[in-house]
Amino acid sequence: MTAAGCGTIDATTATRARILLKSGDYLDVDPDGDLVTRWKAGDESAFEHLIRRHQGRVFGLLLRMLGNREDAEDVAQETFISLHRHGHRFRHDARFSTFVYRVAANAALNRRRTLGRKNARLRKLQTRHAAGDDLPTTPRDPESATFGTQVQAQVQDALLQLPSDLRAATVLYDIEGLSYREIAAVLEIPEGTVKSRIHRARSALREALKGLVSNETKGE
Amino acid sequence: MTVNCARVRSHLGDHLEGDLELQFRARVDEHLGRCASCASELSELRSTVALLRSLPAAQPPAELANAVMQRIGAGEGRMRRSGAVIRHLFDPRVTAALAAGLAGFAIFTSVETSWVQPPESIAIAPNGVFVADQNAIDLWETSPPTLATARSVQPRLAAIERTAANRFYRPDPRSMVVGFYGRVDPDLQQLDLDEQLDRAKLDPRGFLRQLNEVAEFERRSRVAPLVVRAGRRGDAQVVARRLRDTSHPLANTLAAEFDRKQSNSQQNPSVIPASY
Repeated sequence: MTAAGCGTIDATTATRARILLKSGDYLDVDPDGDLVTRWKAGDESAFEHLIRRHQGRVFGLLLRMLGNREDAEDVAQETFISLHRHGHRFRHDARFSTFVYRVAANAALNRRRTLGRKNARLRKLQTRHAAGDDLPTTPRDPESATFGTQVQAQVQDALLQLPSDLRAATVLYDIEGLSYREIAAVLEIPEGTVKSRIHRARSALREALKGLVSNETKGE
Repeated sequence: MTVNCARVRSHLGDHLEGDLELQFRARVDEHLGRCASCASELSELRSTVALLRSLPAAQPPAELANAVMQRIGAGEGRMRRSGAVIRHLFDPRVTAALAAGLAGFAIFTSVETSWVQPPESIAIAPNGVFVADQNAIDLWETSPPTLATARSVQPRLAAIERTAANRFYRPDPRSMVVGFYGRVDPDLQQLDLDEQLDRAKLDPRGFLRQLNEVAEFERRSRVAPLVVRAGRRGDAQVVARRLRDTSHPLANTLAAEFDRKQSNSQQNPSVIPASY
């Protein structure tokens, strides 16, 4: 039996389930439940189906968190490999999609730490270079090839300047469209903390994008 | 009763989302009607959110799912059992990472480290490599490395002597080479090697000396080693049991050696059994 032909809940139903959840009517059905059960029973095609169902959201989150497609693709692969490896820890006490986001967000946060150290090293090398030390340095510009318009590049750049905990919250809320409750489950923090992080992230972004938002405001 | 600017500004996010209780919202709106500064902030905030939401949806690479399934087919997605401790022993990437880590040991011996580190530091933490049980590894890999996580994980780690690097040649009689567990991030490995090379440019002779020490150590041990401090009985038992659980041909030898070291630690200070 193919993964697509098993009568599992389709994307439309999954979306509807989420709307119900946001409105307060908790729907105690995980749209991924059937696939997860089949995968745990040894059906690898079910896992592939889960990847295809979640890859858009995972990749979107990672792209906004990391700032370039190469890193996002690397970490997306690692996310799904890690999910496959640790799937036995998923206990159905939350939605599978929450578990997926959690693993992806943690992977992104960890990768950012590594990149942060790498960038610090590059800055150090640049400083030495400027001081006359002839060391090669090729800092990359993650946005140059990835984002089409200048405005989008500026927004993405401002996102990358945020502390990673604030960035994760605002990307999940404003770009991925998760509810406060879902984000609290993904990041394993209280809902109040989620709201506060989003508020702080938006304030910081407003400052960073002052030129853009002022223009937009004048144009209203 | 009116509301002041500070209170209004702290609720502008809720205002945008329509989350304000009706009566309070009316008071905020009344304030916004007469305070150009707050109104401007709300407007800028709205524009900021609009800009964020205008970022185009990201299209994942067409081959993402296939690439993942191929890697899983090659064995990468299997759950790690404690046998990984032994399997990683012979992984050249681990050896390389350890070499980088060892160079780091010599350089950073005075640097204090805590367990509140990103997961990748498991591989080359300045206080050494260590054996972690499966639960600890799971927890570390799937949860953020917060202080709470670290506190939860720490008791389940058989920690190594902090100054392990100095003890490779003057070994603690309670220690022995057992194995190595490390999650090796190729980027990180490259990064740390790069950092070492940066340092090498500043102190070429010192770096060369460290490299020679690492090479000598690898030659003598033949494998990427792990020095487990066996001073705590509980840790030793966990390590021995997990070694026996593995199917690796060397597991029983290692476990027996471990037990022997436990019972004769004061009498036999040699650290690296000749058999491996």
